[in-house]
Amino acid sequence: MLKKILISLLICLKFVFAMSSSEIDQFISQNSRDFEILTKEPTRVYASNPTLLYLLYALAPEKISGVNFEWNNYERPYLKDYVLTQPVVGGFFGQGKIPNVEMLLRLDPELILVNASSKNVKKMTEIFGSIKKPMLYLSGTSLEDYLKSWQILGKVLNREQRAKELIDYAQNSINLSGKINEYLKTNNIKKLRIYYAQGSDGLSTECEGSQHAILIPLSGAEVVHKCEKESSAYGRVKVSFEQVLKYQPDMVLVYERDFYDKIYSDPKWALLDAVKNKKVYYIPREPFSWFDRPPSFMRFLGIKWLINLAYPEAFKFDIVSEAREFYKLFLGLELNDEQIGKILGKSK
Amino acid sequence: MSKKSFLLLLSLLILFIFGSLLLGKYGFSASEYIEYFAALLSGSDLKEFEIMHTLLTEIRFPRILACLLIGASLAISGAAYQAMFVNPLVSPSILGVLAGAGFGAALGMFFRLSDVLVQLSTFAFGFLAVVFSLLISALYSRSGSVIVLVLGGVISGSLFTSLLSILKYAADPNDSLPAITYFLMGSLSFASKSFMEISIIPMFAGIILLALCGKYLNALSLGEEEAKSLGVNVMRVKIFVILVATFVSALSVTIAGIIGWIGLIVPHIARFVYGADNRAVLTSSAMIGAIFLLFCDSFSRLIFTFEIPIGIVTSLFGIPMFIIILRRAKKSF
Repeated sequence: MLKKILISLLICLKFVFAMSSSEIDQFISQNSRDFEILTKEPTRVYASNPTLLYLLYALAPEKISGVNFEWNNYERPYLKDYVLTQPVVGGFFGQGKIPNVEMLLRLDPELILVNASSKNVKKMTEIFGSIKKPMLYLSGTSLEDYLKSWQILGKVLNREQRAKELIDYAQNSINLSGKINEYLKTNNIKKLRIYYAQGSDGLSTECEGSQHAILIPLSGAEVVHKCEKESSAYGRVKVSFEQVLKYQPDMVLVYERDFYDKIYSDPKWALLDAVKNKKVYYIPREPFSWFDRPPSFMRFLGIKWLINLAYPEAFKFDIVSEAREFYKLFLGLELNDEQIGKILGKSK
Repeated sequence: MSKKSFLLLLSLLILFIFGSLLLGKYGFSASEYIEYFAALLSGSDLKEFEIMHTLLTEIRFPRILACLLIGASLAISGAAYQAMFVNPLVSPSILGVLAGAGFGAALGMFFRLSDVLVQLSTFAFGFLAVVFSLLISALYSRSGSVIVLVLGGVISGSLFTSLLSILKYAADPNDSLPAITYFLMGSLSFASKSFMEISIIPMFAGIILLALCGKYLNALSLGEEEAKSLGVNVMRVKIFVILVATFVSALSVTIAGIIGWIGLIVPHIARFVYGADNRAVLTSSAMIGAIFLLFCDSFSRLIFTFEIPIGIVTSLFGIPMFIIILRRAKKSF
């Protein structure tokens, strides 16, 4: 028993994340531009892609200045009025909606957050550089990136306490991923095989190793679709139904609601054991998906949700109270049972 | 082209330039503009006009310049191709130049080459794409049939588009993929001051060189035998025009990505208004192309709070215009 406690303590220690103040300063000096213009705590921040916008939303929604796209109707009820009324400026993501520089100048943000991968995209740096605003390059790809970005942003925006609360929660979720994999190993449990169904026909999916399905390995399961080549960054590769049938996954996760509504009545899909065993789950997505698309901090709740579905015996989660706690901490929302039921959909 | 109509076009162009210089999402009042220009002309301190100064000199002016050069380049090279091949369906995008140049630029970014090498690769592949489409048409049709030429261009364009897709697929999603994606989106907001400084002279020179080819292209449009009897070295003219037209349209790709339709539509408008004389068609195409792109860009900047890729706007306005012109165009070419 003592050994077990010690091991789990060690695991926790190993993953504890923190940068010292000087490390943060060093990061900023290496990953920013015109930062010296910033003399006081910024009050208006423009995030130039959705991932960073969500990251900022969790940390300091009152500082958001301009958004990347119109909020979807299913997002609106959960978001703060102030953020809902921000103008759409565009951003750098996908294939369009480039920011309108003059609109940005009119909003006059005191800080611009730019995706770290765009640091070397010269043309983009020139666009923001032309209006001479401080830019900070942050990353939001892996789950660990969130911890780092929140800590840095927490210091820059003077929200260190808030950042710490979010990081603690996130760290806990990440540790859980380590624990579940350890649990499967020590108990010699075979990994659950999951098919991630996207698209209205359910035949778009992600390859093993795709960033868009990162929660599957993190929750101790495996992606059934293995690709010879690393999948493209956009994901959503097409597979044939015969291929899915050949995979015979243990569980199916569904992104689109309309596909989820018809999978149980479709005679073709009924051939899958997962469908016969009622192991098909709709991924909650309000206000942002718990899983991916968009990649957001909601994935820290998504880990718990998925572990709970895949290995219910491992940790005894009550997903309703978990969700309630998460929405309160990250989104400042007090949800009632009815709302949580709606969010969880039929997968409750 | 009469002097009068030239001056009319020129004044229209100047009107559009001033219009786009003064219009933008960041609004100023007329009196603020007057104060600023007064201060600028009298050489007094511009400190209190800092925002307006940055906005006009760093953001709006380079962009207007880019519009003028790109619009003119694409339109004049389209006009030159059409005259040379005596074929109203040819344009840089139909011959595959834009797809080839796009692939060349992406290839340069894929291997993280320097800016100069990226530009070289842009030009080289733009040129290769044209050569490829010409080769295909030469292979199957010795008489230079219109349809085979267009098909050659379609094949060449699709080939480079699919090569580009492969490249995007293989690109590092964290580094070169965003660079390639934003590059190909096609937006004039990428036309920054430093970028225009490099491109302005070669592009302007290319446009002037093409505009001076009108006489030779007139001779070519009479047929090769006739042109030879007029003392024109047909092969030399053809190679020269292909080189320069490819060069300017490929350069436009390095500035703003792939912008379609202008090279096809604008020469038709020019021919519709000014007749079939290539001297008039080339010059007026350049000017109309510049005006057209300025108009489309102002639209993309002003209508929404974000920007939509310029290629969408040019086809949105270009296609209906093209349909009208086609309907009313005389049969002469």
